[in-house]
Amino acid sequence: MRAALALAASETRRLYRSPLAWLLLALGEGFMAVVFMLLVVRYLEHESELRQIGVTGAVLVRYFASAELGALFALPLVTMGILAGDRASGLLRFLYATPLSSSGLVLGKLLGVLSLAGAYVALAAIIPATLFWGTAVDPGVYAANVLGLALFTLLHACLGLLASALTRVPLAAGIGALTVSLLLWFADWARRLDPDAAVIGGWSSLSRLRGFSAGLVSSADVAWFVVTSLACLALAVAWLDCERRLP
Amino acid sequence: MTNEVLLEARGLVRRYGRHVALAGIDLVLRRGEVLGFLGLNGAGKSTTLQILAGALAPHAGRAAIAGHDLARHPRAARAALGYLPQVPPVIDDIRVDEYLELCARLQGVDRSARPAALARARARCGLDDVGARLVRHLSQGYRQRLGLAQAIVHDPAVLLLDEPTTGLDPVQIRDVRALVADLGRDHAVIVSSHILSEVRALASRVVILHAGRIVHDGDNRATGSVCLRTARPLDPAALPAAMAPVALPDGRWLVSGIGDEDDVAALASAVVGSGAGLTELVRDADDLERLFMQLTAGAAA
Repeated sequence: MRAALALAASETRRLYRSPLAWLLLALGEGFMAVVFMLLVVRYLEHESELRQIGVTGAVLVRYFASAELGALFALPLVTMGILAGDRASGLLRFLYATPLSSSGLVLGKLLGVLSLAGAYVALAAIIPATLFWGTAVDPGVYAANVLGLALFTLLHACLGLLASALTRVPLAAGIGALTVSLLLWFADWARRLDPDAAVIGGWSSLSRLRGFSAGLVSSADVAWFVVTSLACLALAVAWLDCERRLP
Repeated sequence: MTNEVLLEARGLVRRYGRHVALAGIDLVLRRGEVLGFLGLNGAGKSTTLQILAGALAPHAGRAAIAGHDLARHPRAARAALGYLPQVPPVIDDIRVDEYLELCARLQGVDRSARPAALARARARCGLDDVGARLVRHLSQGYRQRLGLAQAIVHDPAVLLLDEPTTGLDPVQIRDVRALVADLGRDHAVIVSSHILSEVRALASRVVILHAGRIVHDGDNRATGSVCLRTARPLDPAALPAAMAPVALPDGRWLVSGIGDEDDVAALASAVVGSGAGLTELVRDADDLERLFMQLTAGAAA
């Protein structure tokens, strides 16, 4: 565990010393600020029509949907090189030669990614918090949306890490992670097109977020995000373990 | 040198597709030995070191480091070894001190012992002046030294160094050789290289690897020989027992089994003492090269 934490600290330093991390955070925050401003302006212009759903429905919920989409596209950029790049540079083979276990290796890398993903979630959560001054935003819906964004980010960090564990080409890992993320997002459309395809729709991250958007924290949705994230991590650990132990 | 076995490998086999990179390597290394691992490019040197370091799994065979089996007790085995791969495994975006701190923590060095361990590794590898520098700003030579520092930061019993002097200038090469000689006194060290002079200078024992097999395993010093000429006929029985004289057609004697300078002095003294009259004595520096070329001749052709 200590070795995993040491690796996590080092990964965090690596990430924050790279311009990519700061660029992504700056672009993400800028994007969120613009989305927020447009939603507020739209609400003010159509207040009479939107009064029924209120600021919470018209601004807050839509804002978090945009934040989730931003995370979906940004996280593959962060995670793609995290193991694939180390494999290509030979660093992964060096880590295999240390007493660090494969689970410790994946945990350390994940914590490093989460240090950046957590900053994104925190920054994204700050902007709509300004609505608490002067409007009647539902704090429960706000908290549920922040939780939904955090779980969504965790899932995509784990997914990206798994994709990165499977290849030595960072670009392939990035494209793979983005493809699976989009498939999970749009799986919800299967249910819309064909009501019998509910099983596929159940795998949609978008449909799983619907409850959080409405302010309803369902234990089934939380469990889905946590279990799917853990499954990605377990697969990544198993893959690295096989690579390490099997010829 | 003690008899304590620190590294033992039996029947290591590794294939890459149809290509057999290692075809059954057996190796035993004791404390105090510096083993020079010689071979042409592609002979299997790096593959062997990767397997011994636990970074690559063999198709067959087993290895143990300091008594810990690599397959059954990988953590204990890996903690007892330091490994410098061919390309130094450094991280560009962190500082030298941060990198060494990470390596020490990964290797399980206690928090209280860490500052001293880092200071020792830095001093031994000449990194005192660059501790605060980002790794990406280091020259090739310094990166190599940093790779060496990470290998010794936890004071491992066994050191595996894959071409440790690559990219170093002559002064740095001399320093690394001195460091390896120093480490070799109470550790077991394997130095892989395809440079004969490097192995001749560093190793106490030489293993020559060819096409995935060990084709020579012997004392480096015993591979030395001298040529001598005498004024009168020489009686071979007058020479020390370990030395094997062979008469050359030009009237000289080729004496093998010569190690350090003491052996040369003992030989000269024996020849003079025999009354044969020593008129010429030349160290045959190319003995290892001749052996290497002979054993790897198939590949060269």
